[in-house]
Amino acid sequence: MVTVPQYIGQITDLFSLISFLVIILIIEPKLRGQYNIAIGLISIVGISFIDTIYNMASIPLLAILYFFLLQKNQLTTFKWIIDFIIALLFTFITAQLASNLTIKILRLQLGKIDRQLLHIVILDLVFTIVLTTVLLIVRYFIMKLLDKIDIEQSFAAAIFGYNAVALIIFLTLADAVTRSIGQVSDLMPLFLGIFGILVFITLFVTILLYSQKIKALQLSHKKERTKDNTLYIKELEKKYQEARKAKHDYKNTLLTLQVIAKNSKNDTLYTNVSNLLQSDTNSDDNDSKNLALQKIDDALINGVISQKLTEAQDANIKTTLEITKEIPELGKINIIITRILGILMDNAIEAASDSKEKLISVAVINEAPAIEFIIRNTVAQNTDINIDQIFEEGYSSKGSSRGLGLSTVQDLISHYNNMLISVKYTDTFTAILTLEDII
Amino acid sequence: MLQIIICEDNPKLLNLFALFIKQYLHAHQSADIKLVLATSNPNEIINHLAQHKNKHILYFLDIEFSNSITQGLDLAKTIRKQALNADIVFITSHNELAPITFERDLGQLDYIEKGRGLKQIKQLIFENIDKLTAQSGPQRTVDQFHYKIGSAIHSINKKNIVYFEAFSNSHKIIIHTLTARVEFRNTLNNIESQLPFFYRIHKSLLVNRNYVKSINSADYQIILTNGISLPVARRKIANLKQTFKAL
Repeated sequence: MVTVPQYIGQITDLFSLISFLVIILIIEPKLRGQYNIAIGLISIVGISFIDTIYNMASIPLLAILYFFLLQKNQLTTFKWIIDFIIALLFTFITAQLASNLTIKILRLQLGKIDRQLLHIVILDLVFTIVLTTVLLIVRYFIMKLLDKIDIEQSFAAAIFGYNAVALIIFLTLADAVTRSIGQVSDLMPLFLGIFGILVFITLFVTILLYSQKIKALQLSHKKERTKDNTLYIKELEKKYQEARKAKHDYKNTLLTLQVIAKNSKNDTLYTNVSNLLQSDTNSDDNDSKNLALQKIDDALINGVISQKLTEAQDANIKTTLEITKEIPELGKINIIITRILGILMDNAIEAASDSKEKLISVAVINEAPAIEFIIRNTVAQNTDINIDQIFEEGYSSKGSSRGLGLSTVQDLISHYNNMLISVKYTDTFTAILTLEDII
Repeated sequence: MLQIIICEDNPKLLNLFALFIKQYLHAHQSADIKLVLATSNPNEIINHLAQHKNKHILYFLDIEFSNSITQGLDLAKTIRKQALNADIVFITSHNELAPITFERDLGQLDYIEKGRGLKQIKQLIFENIDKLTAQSGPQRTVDQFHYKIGSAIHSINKKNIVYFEAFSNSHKIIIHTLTARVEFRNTLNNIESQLPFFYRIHKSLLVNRNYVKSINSADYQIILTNGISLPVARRKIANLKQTFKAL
C-alpha cells in the first residue's frame, strides 16, 4: 500500500476487501450463495478491524477467509486456487492504481492530508469502482475470445493463473522497491504496473498463438493420415474386386461346362464339375471382413464388432460382415451402442452355436439420416421363442442369463428417442438396431 | 397375371434358366403366369418396365455383367424405385456379397447361388414362383401397412399385425406380430386413423380384432390368440364386449 497516514490506509484497504469479494463473486458463479455473501461481509468487517491493530494483516486474513471460511461448492481445487489468485491480482492492481491516481490528482503531500480527507475517500472509492469494472470487462472479453478460438478450458485457466502469479510477484516487488526507495517513487509503481500488464498480455498472446499453431499441425497431420488410409483401402478394395471378378468368371465357366456336360450326357464330367463348384473355398472371407471393418471409423464400435466376430469364429461359427458405406465416429452415444451390440452379439453367438448351420451375419448400413446395425443368426431347430416377451426381464428361451441381457437393451434404448430396436424370428433370428437422426 | 423376366449375361445360362421356367409353366398350366422376357441386356428390362408399370412382375436377375460387377444391383434398384409391385430374385455367384443389405434395400424373395449347381438352381426357381402364386395378386398392396425407419419405408401385411403398443415416455411404437417385434416412431392416434379394423383398448394399445380370443371383464384384461393378455381401459370394456359379441 502507498505510504499515506494509517487511517486513510485502512479506508482504502476496506475498499480493497469489498472489491475482492465482489470480484470473486462475479468471476466465479459457483461461489455465489447467501452463506458465502454473509460470511464474506462479516469477515470484511472483522479483517478491517484487525487491520487497524496489525497493519498489513489483511492479505493473510483474506487467504484464510477464502480458503477456510467460504464454501468451495463444486469447484475443482485447481480452479478454486486460480480464482483466488485472479481476484487478488485484480484487487491489488485496483488498489494500487486507485491510491496512486488519487494522490496524483489531489497533488497530495505526505503529512498534509487531513483537510482533504473526504476528497481522498470519495476519489479512491470512485477509482476502485471504475478500475474494478474495467478489469472485469477486460476479463469478460478475454474469456469471450477464448471461447471463440476454442482453446481448452483448463489450459486457458492455467495460462491465466500462471501469468497472474507472475504479475502479483512483480507488483509486490515493485511496491516493496518503491517503499524502500522512498520519496522518489511517485510514478514508479504506475510504470511498473503498466509494464507488468504488458508482459502479461505479451505472454498470453504468445501462448495462444503457439496453441493454435499446434492444433493446426495436429489437424493437418490427421488429415494426411486419413488420406493415406483411404487411398490404401481403395487400392485394397480394387484388388479385392478384381479377384472376385475372376472368381465369378470361373464359376460361370464351370456352370456352363456343367450345362454342356448335361446336354452331352457325360455323367462323369457332370459330377466332377458339380464337385468343383461345391468345393468353393471361402479363403477370401477374412480379407473381405477386415476390409469391411476398416470402414467403421468409430473405434469402440469397430472394436466390439471385430471382437465378437472373432469370438464367434473361435466357437466354430461362420460369420459374414457387410458394410456398405463408411460409418463415422458417433460421439458419446457410441458407448451405449457398444453395450447394446455386445449383448446382441453374445445372444447371437449363444444361439448360433446351438444351431446346425452355425452362421452369424452382421451388416452395418449407413444411409442418411440413419445407421442400422443388423445381426442375424441361425437358431437350433424347433427353438420356441416368444418374441412378444423377449424383452421382458427374466424371460429366456433357455436358462435365465439370456433374458436379462435383452431387458438391459430395452432399458438402455428407452432413454433415447432416436434409437429403435426390432427383432424377427422365422427360421433365423434377426435383431436390428437403428440409430435415427444422425447429423 | 404374373409376368416373369430373366436377365443373365451368359447366353447359355440364360437359355437354361428360360428352359427351367418353361418346364414350370408346362407343369402348372392352369396358373396365370407368363415368361415375357429373357434377355442379356438390362436396357430391355428398363424399356419393358416403362410399359408395364402396374403389372406384377417377378424378376430373376444376375448381379454381375461383363462390363460392371454391380449392374444387376443398379438394375434392381431402378426396378424397385419404379414399381412397388415387383419381386426380385438374384441368381449370382456372389455368395459373400452383402445378402442382408440386398434384402433390406430390395426386398428380394431369394438369393440363388450359382455355386450350388444346376439341380439346386432349378429347385429354387420353382420354389420362388410357387411362393408368389400362393399370394393373391391384386390384393397385395392394399393390405400393407407402411412404416418408416430411418430413411427406409417398410411394409407389413395388416393381417400379420397382432397389436401396436406405444411407449409411455416417447413417440415410439412397437408392432407386435407372431414372429416379430418392430419399433418405429409415430403416434398411436395417427395409426388408429389408418386402421379401422383395429381396436384401441387402452391409451397405449391398439389391437387387431382378429387376434382377440376372449375378454375377461372382471380383471379388465383381453386375451389374444397367441396367449398374451393385455390390459383394457375400464371405460372401454363394456363397449368392447359388445363389439365382439357382434362379430
